[in-house]
Amino acid sequence: MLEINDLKISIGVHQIVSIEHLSIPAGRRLGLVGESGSGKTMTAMSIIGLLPREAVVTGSIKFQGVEMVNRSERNLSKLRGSEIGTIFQDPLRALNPTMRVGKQVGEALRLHNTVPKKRVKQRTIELLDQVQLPDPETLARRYPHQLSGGQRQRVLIAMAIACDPKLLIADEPTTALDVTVQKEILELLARLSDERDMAVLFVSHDLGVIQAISAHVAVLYGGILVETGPTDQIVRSPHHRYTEALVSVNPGHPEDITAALGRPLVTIKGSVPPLGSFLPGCRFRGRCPHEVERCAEPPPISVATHEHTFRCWNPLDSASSLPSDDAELAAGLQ
Amino acid sequence: MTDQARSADAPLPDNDDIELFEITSRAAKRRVPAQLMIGAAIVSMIVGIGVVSIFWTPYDLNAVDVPNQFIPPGSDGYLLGTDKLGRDMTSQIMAGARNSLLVSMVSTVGSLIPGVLIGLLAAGASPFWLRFISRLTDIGIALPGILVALVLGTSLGPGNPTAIIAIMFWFIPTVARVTMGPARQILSRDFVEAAQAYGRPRRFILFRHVLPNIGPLIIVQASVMFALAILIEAALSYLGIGAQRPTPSWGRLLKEAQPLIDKAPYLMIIPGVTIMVAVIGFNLLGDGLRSFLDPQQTAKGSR
Repeated sequence: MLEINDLKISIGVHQIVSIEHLSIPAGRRLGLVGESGSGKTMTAMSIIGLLPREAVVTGSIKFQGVEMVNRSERNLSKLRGSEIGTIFQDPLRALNPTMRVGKQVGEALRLHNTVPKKRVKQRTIELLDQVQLPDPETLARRYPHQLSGGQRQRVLIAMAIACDPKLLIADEPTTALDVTVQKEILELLARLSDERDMAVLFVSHDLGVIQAISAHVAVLYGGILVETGPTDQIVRSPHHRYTEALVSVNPGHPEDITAALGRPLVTIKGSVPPLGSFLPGCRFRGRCPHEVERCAEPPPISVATHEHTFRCWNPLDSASSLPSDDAELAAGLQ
Repeated sequence: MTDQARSADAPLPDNDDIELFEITSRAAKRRVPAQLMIGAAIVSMIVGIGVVSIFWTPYDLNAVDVPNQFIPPGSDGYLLGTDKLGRDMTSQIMAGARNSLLVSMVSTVGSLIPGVLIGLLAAGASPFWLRFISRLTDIGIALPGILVALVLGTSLGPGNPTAIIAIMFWFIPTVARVTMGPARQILSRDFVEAAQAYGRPRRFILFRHVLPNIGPLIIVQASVMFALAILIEAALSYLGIGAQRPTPSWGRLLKEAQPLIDKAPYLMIIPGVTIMVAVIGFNLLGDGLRSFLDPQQTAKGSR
């Protein structure tokens, strides 16, 4: 349903994102994981054409067969909200402080003419109820600052699903919430996506969160997809050295907390280099503890198992995989 | 789950009651600044006098009564005295309030609407238009208002309409400028991006999301402009561009009192003090509103 091919996003002379292929079939949830500055939000926002004015996008993003890149603002805004919903990291800042939340949800319905005018109010209440907000009638009359963080995020989700979108872009929707609320929101999103057969692109820096919500994951580093595949498989046996590092820094589940307490926290050495100062070849070079000489050349896409692809010269489990020059095969297996 | 929650705290009071309660308690938590009270008192007094003067004044405004000329203020029957033709000052001051308010109201509203529109649209426009309109407002602000008014006065002839047009020329660029900055600030906020992501058209975002957020600012600006408009109206009438006899006006009273300053200084002092009090009243109201509508304070008060 969503197909990204040869997507390149650059600002000035710097290329920020370069993705050969990424696709989300209808109803599937895909996690996009990477640390700050890896270009994950840029990738997500390029789908709905919400990038800074200076950003140049080339390549192709096809949503339900329709090209989204360089589409006119007018055509894009028809799709935004109706076919593609979006939720943001900080729900307080994403809500208009001067409008009652019910009004804001209703606005989505009114604008895309999804329901007749008379039913807008009723539908708003239904939506707030579907995102499991208690006492939706009273809540609809409140202002954003009168709600808790979790409630605000639920309101935002209600706005995003108001017009039954086919794709939901969730840009770090749980990062600003505490862990218990985080879990509730993840469950809610998973349920809504199952019920409505709604695809979700879930952007996060937290592999644990991705694992909880989506069966598939794409790991982004320096604007390049370094590994994609089923989440469980990737967490269990990562191939790319960056993914390996990401998995190992995860402190583990709360049940292991006593075991985890004694161990020092693992970190990834260094930080993402500033724009334009990536070394040639593999972008993880310089931070990677398993660097080999060939890393100076850009690594090709390799296929591990059926859906699992990665690009690394010196992968963790090199025995089970062969570098494949057949990019088409690799792409087709997404 | 929600049904349970709702039945648990069952007899919920009527929704309207809840809302009313919330609003009153929120307002009570916010302190009303003293300036706001004093300003509101002065302003309502002036508005009251102006309204009363439409229906009743102690004497006919233009009734000449030469035997009773130059009666000093405080005399029996003439609270503020009479002028050189024996016309009652109290009546003229009262009617002057009416004219002052009318001119200020029309010119303030008349410059707010186009000014805010220009400012909003410029803030939402492409960088080229934004720069173009900014420079245009710069030119407007740079032109000396009194000179523009004098030119208008000579080409249109004196009168209230000329004063109103002159004040609007003066105010529109300022309003546009004052709107543009904050509007751009609001446009860079996350909820605007969110609104875009939900498919709201640009214009819609400007009017539904940006305008309410700069509303308090515009209200404060309006009250300051209103005070300024009273002053400008008086100045223009004093210069002979504004109201002419028989239209009552404070500024015109000043002009007429000028040659008599030795003989009857109260003729100048009374309208002068009236103008001062009115301007101070509207300024206090503006200042009070500014601190009352301050978003920071609102947030604190309602949490």
